Amino acid sequence: MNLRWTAPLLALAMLACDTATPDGTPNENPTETLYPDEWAHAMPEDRGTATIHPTPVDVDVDGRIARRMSVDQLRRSIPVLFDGITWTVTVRGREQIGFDVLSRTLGEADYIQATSHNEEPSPLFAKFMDDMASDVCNKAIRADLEATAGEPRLVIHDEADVDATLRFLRLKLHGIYVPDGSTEGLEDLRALYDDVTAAQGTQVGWFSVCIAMLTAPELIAY
Amino acid sequence: MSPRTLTLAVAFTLAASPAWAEVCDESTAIAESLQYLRRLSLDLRGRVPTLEEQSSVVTNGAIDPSIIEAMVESDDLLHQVRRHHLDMLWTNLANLRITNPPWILSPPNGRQTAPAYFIQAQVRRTRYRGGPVTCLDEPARFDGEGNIQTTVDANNPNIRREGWVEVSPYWAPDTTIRVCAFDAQENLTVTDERGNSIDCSVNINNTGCGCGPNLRWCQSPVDGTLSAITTSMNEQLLRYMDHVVRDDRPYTDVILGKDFEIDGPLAFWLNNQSRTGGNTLPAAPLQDHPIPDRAFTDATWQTVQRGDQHAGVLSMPGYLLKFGSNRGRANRFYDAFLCKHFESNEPIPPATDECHKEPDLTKRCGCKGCHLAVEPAAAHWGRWAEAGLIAMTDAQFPTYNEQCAGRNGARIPVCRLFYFTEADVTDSASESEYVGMLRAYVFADEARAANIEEGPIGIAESAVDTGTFASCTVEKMWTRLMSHPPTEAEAETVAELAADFANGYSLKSLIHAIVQRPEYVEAARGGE
Repeated sequence: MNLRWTAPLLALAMLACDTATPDGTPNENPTETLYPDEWAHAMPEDRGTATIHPTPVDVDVDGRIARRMSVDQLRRSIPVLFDGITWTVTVRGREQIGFDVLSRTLGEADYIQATSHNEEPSPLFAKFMDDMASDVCNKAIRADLEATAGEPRLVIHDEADVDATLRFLRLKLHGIYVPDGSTEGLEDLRALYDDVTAAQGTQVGWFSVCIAMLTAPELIAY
Repeated sequence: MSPRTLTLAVAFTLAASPAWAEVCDESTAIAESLQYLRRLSLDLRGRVPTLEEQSSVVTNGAIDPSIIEAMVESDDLLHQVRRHHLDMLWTNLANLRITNPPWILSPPNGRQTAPAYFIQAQVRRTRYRGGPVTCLDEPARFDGEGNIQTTVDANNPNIRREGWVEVSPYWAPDTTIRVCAFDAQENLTVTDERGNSIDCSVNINNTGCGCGPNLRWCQSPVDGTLSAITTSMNEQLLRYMDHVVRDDRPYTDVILGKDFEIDGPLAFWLNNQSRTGGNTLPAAPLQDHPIPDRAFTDATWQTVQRGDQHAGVLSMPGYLLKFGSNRGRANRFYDAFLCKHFESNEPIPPATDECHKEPDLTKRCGCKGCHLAVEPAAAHWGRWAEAGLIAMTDAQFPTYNEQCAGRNGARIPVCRLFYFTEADVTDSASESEYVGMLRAYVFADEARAANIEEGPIGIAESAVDTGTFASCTVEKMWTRLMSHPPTEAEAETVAELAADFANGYSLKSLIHAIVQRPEYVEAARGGE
């Protein structure tokens, strides 16, 4: 299975269900009818009553719902995961942080044109997350290759032990612990690494794994 | 028995043994704790946990409670709370027009057409020079009395052009820039041809008036003066809310507090430039708080105590200018602090119905369903200028102004902006009695007039006293952390949290309590 392409789609499918919101239609059965001023400062009762609606609740859930990470959470998380490395794009010859430059496109409210965040895992968002992962993984792996012996690695934790590196990445990026000796949840990643490495070498193999894990629902959703 | 069957049999045997169950439990506990840590870190710090933090959970098999406490006390939490407040109050004034073109300097363009900073507005250029031109690219000349000397244009005898002068601008006092001499004039007042004294800080028509000493009355967008002011307005509101949370003050201070901070750009704008907004943004140094004398370049914040007309964020520029009308201010208050919104269920009669001509919105069909509540609430901001920033005290703005009630009332700027004049009357029978009244008092009965006099503190205190503020704060924080508004099944829990919250109004404690609720701790794992 090619996780690079399937992971975002899985994320889309899953989150589309998780983040279903009320349809925003008017609440026709307000739960309370109040006099004009509910604290009786000004109550022109002779003119009838006004209706003030509480926020409609139209969810049937038990506990917290998983949701997509916000643009700001990604902006703050990626440097934590990659020792300061973040997503950059070049705009008019200047390298700028992608999460900032594309903030509105990614659905972040600016409180002028948009007053609420669009946190739908839309195809557009998935596309830009692919761009982000590609840029960040490229820089991270380059840093690993340039690191001197003994320096901590960002992605290629143990070049000689592929499964150990996958366990390391699974904990670091997804918060999922895979005990030594177990490969639970690593099979697809291992297959991806093996397939790509066989065709294009280890560097591209790790690059593919890094992108797959950065765009996976286990990272983007929480 | 096949190898596969044998494997399964061994697996079942192992799973049934107490030792294996222990391993399973431990593994599940680690997995759940890791996801809980991840959730906490993202919600409270806005970022994923570090590898070291996750490794500690693997080692210990659980999250150390001190980790949660550290997160709640961290500066990262303040960042998250600031995001929460941004979502509530939409704090962004970047698109606000705070002055008019006659007060805006354009930079030199490097060509003969604009060799120095100049005001591009036609009204200034034409009065100064007789046509839409800028100054000459030469030092300005003055006569013995200090009057600017001009050169008549060779092609148009009506055009007279001056040279430039060097000025230290208020936004960069250690530098000098070239400014056309008319625009750079420093006169505070001039005397017009009738002998009247003209205040140059608000006058754009007299050729003896310019931008004032150090250009103090003018803006230079390319040098960031406008954005510095609106950025300070945003920051003032947000840092106030930050500090309430950071210092664990009662969260009610957000709507009741009388202190706030002011920095150089804001103080300088209020003291020197606020009156240049004209009709675009009626503002003045009248703010019901002392305005310190600060340099525009002074980025430090100074605490100032505000007067009776103030109420937490509800009377800050970041709120009043974002929500320009009193109805808009009341509407945002209902949404942000009471968790309620206005929505009329009343059927609207056809447009031909006479009822649409009723000028009082608390009586007009289709409108009264909301405005019966909106108008009394909006009245609390009745003594704050709409679409502007002036604390309208009774001394400066009496409830009734006889001049505004006169036939020429609408020609007097202060009447046109703030008072109900004859020109506004559409229905003499019901409106005539209000001519000459401050706008907020039009159609106001005694109770609504009392709301006007109370100011926003009145509606804020009511919200706290009735418990609505506490329950709404809990509801909003619950919604943020749980990703959905409280359901009916959760109502009792939320009510308990609100009761606890009302005992001290500590937002940090509220957040701490919610993230330890089973509904949060045992949430579905993200990504699965």
